[in-house]
Amino acid sequence: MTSFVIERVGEDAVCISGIDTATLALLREVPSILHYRSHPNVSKRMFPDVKPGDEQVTKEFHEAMDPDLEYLFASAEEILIQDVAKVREGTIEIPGTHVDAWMSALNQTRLILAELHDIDVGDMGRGEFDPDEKKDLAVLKIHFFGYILDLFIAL
Amino acid sequence: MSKPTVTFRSATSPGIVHIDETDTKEKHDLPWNVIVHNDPVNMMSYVTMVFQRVFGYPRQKAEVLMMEVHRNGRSLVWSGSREQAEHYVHQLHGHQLLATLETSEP
Repeated sequence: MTSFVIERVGEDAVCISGIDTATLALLREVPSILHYRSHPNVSKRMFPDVKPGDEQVTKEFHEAMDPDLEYLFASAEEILIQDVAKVREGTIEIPGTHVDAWMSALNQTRLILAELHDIDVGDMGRGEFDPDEKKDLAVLKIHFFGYILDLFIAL
Repeated sequence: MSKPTVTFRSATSPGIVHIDETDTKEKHDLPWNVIVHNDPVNMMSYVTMVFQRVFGYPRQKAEVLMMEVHRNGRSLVWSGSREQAEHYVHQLHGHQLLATLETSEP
């Protein structure tokens, strides 16, 4: 992981290098996780009720905003998929305009994993994991994608 | 919360008719609060960045609000008109923060 680097190249591009086999496998797994965006347990988190206790306002907000959100989330996913497909020898150069899409897709992935595996603050703070346990593996993936996300934030 | 009443003089019968004021005017007049709730997954650095981007807050203010979310479980991050509040919540949802709207008590 120490060789994994995200850095700006000129004004309009970002280079991601040091993508090893394991990292690439995890990035390629992102679409299959994002596929669960419409899962009932997950959609409540991705499309939250805007005004709990006020059914009308909440319903109207969902009707007006959810299609836009869905488009935003799906667009980010599509951009990440296309960029990851271009990885050559552990490196890709992406347009600077793709950075927000990467951050969105990575964060979506983290949230969806947490909802699917019922991960709470205690799970996130644990220091020991059993990779054979599905929940522990999900926590490890959340931390991994968080590590990449943090590198993008620091750009 | 007790609803205010408006007094009208009936045109068809003498006496005073008390009519509950509709919620509509009340909701337009009250400030709408944008609340961000804590969640176990969103990172502190990410939440700070989103507050800076969505509201244009300086880093220091964004960090104070982020810490309020982290420590208290929620933070009132903006207050004002309904339309603008809805816009901000939509932006926050777009960044996958858990945000809701509340109307202030008069």
